[in-house]
Amino acid sequence: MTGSLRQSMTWLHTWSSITAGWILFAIFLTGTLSFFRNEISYWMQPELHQSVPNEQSVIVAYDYLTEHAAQANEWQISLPDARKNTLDLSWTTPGEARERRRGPRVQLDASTGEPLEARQTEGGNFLYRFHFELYGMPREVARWLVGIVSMMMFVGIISGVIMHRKIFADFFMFRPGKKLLSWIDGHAISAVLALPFHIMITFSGLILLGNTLMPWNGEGHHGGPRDRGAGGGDRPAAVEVAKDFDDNPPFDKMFRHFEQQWQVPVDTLSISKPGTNKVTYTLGGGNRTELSAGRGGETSFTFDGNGEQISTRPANSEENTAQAVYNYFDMLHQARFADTPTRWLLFFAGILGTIMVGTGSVLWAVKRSKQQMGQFGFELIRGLNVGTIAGLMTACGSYFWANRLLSAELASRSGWEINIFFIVWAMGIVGGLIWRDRKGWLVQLSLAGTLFTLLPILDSITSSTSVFFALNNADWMRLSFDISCLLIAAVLWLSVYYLAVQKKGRRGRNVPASPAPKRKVKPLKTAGGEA
Amino acid sequence: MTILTLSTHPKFLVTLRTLCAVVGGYAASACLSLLLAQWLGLTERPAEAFIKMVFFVVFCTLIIWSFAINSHRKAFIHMAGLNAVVWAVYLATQGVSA
Amino acid sequence: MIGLAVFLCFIGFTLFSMANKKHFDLAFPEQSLSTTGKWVLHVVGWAFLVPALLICVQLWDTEIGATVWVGMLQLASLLVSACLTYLPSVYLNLCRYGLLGQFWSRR
Repeated sequence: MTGSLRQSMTWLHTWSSITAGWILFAIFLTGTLSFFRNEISYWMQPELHQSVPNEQSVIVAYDYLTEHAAQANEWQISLPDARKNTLDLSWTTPGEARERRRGPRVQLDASTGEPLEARQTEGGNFLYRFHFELYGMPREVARWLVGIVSMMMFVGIISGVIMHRKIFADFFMFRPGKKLLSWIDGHAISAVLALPFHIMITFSGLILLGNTLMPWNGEGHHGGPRDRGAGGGDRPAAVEVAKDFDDNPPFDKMFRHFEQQWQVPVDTLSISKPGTNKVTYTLGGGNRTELSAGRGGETSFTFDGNGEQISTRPANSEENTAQAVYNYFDMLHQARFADTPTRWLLFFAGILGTIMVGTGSVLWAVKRSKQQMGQFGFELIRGLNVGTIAGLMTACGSYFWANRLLSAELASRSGWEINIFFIVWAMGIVGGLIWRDRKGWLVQLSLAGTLFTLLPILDSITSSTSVFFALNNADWMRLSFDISCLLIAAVLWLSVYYLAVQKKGRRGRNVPASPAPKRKVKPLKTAGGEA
Repeated sequence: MTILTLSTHPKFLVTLRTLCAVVGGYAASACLSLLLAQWLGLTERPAEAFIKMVFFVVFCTLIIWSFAINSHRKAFIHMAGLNAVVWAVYLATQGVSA
Repeated sequence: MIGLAVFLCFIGFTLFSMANKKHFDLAFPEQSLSTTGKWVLHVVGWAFLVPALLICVQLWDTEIGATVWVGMLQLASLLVSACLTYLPSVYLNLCRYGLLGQFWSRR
């Protein structure tokens, strides 16, 4: 501020980041997990695990609808895909009282057609909501808070780049086992190697919160026109229509046509006027080729009753450059478009972001441990580091455990899952404030490690089907959740191991109660040479 | 504590400096992004989207710029000056178009 | 195809890292890295990254493809870094023999 540019930037980087560090860590961690929110929700509803999709799933759905919703004038079928194993059906029937907003809907087993009743849970949506609206506070307040820390993050990233002049020249080296140097390297590597992601995710996060942070922008037409005139009371009266479901629709022909054209599987099918001679089938799939198109960037095909294509609803295309760029960031942040490899790439970069924030906070404490030991501010930050970083891992583990252990019939059980998450986290913070040294880290990391190690076993015991069933049926959503748990556990145990080794003071230089141990000693890293 | 000692107290100065960067930066970047959108002739949704993106980039730049100045005094003066200029231009153009 | 693209990115980044004096000296203690050598390494590195970009564009179309490519670069750079730290012999052999390091270092 009053020194050289580098000194000012170092000051700004340090203080902009450390004051927001813990909440940013929580946002980054839960946000990263949200890339897999469907998968997490699926894992957290073990009643759905028995559903195994097959080639005939669309027929299963069709048969269910002909039996239960013959008089409906439109059927919506959401087919199983890479992120969903069940059949989700909904329909609208003329004349039926509209007590539910979107008409009746049902979730089916994709091979047997039996309706599935999943337990009440927020699943991955809780983590998703938490990462931009926190919990238990007014939505606007939370959004302001998240917006402010995101801005601090943005300033932290940019000032961080300015303060290391040679940041891009020298970023492959990680020097393990060197205390402060290792922390610096770990922080720099996780920051620099995924820098495009960090900038993208922070910036797009900010523009998504733009309506909150800039109340003066626009004339309040946010949210877009929701009224499509379909709501209201003007519903056609119920008229019994003679329907004929004797012929099977030409699904094969239509699906082949669509899939040959786009090289992606059909995942939504809507049937209008089913059972009449005016029936039309509209097929859609993940065939988006542009992020800048925004919502509605997918192309769908409509077929008549004989399976001949009669029309195409082409994908949107955004003419305005500003809007196109905005849509690009919007879509990228929310990753709705992403297929499996892309999703994993985003997840991986998100993990690096989480590590960057975590190592940054720990680095702050390690750097100052000699001079400031015992001072209030220092001890507070040290304790909060333990409580947020290790504590949050434990809390996430407990959330998944609570999901399986709480009785499926418990009243407001989804609320209890969340309560347990926060109770465990609060205990982690209190524990962290009391035991701020290596012991605190050891205990909390071991606890989290234990929770995550046993999660696959818990999954196998408490789900309607065992893990072997998932293996047999290639249920990759569930398997990748379990494998990820084991990977997280491995990282946690590795950190515990390093801490324990360090404690024995192998290097002769016994550092008593040295602060901030290693978390995530992943095989990351490189060097950023600033000492 | 007299006003004089307060005004040179480091913690006070740092707080003031931060306020200057955040509040001054917010005001200036709001005005700048509105001006830019207006200059490019954008309206409605595209204008809103454009302002959201430009605002955060400008805001971040201004915060960093303001902290990069190596004297408190100069930082206050520059931030105030910038605000005066952009708001004057904005109000003038509003007057013309109104 | 995806694996191939990541591998190409990995090779590209290995070449970039070789252009760093510190890492170059590890692989070729007797040679010194000239400015031309540095440039050549960068150009050859890019010659591996560009085909990876083309593969991504082929698979995902321009807009998403380019985005995925950036994600792959991030992954590949981390792999290079991990390899350098935890499998130094693999890294050194790759530099010396796999990537014609001898050839580059002579100029």
